[in-house]
Amino acid sequence: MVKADATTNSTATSFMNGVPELLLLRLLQAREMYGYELVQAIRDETRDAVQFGEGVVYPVLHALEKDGALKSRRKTVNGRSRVYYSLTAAGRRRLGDLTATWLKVSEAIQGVLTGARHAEAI
Amino acid sequence: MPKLFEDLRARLLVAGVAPRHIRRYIAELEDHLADLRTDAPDEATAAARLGDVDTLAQPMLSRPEFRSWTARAPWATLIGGPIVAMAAASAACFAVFAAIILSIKAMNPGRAIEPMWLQNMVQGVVYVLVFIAPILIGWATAAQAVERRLAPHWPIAGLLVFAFVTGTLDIGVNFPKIAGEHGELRIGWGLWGDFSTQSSGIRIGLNFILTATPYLLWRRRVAALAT
Repeated sequence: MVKADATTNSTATSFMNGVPELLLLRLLQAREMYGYELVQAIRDETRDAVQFGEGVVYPVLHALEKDGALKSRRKTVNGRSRVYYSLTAAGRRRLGDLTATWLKVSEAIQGVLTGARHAEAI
Repeated sequence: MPKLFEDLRARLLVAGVAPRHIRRYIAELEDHLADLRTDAPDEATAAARLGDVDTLAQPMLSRPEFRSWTARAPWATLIGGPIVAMAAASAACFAVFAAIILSIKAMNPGRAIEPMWLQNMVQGVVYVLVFIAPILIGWATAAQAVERRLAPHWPIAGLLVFAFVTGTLDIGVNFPKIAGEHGELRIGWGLWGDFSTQSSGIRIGLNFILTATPYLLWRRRVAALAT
């Protein structure tokens, strides 16, 4: 579903599960956006480090909406009708929880990778 | 619809994803592809960035919340659903009859016998409920099964049960013939009802043949078109 770089494999794919959800919630925290806009924003903000098969963003958006984390509305801008998504109060709470979990996990992994724990033990 | 989306739709339907989720997904993918076409240098790049059928299907298939009730509980939607629809249609008609009759009585307190137009209308609706509605509801069930590319065993079982239930259905309306007499609205099941010229066995057989045969032909045609 998500690839970290050109050397993507199934392990990387499953390891990245949950990342699209986190990124989508984070981007929608700022303003309402439509699917294509979200995908481009992810590409830009991660400098292409996180790439989606672009269409797969929609099941994630639909599932988040079904869970009440997002709401959607069809809006016409410059003659183009698109579905815009925005964050709900439940979505903000979910973003807070996911961010906290992600930071905790990434800090732990960072510690393992840099050997901080081993250094302390020695 | 581009072939990519037709293939994706077929893949998701066979896997039991609810048609409403598929429609919405494909509608947004079409919007997305239109945006990609304006940005990407060529059609192939746009298609590659969107993803192939496998890539696009996987995230829908991995989420059980997108599965239809027909896929989760086919016995409920294909066997229970038509019976509930028939019961709802019958109840709605009876409620409308009762409301009309009570309104007429309220407007004409001295009137003992319902007007002939009302008696004819009610008898006509009863015949539609008994003879036409089972076929229409059966066709709707068949359409649902064909659209979702279901294996035939559940739809056939559903149509058979529905044919039995509707073939033995006995709906009757008797209006008072003389002043002071009570009228009667009734619904029930039995092997021999008011429609004595049409035995229940014949009605069961007819209902089943008239719904199962088009279903099987339609299903075969859709399968042939898909291949």
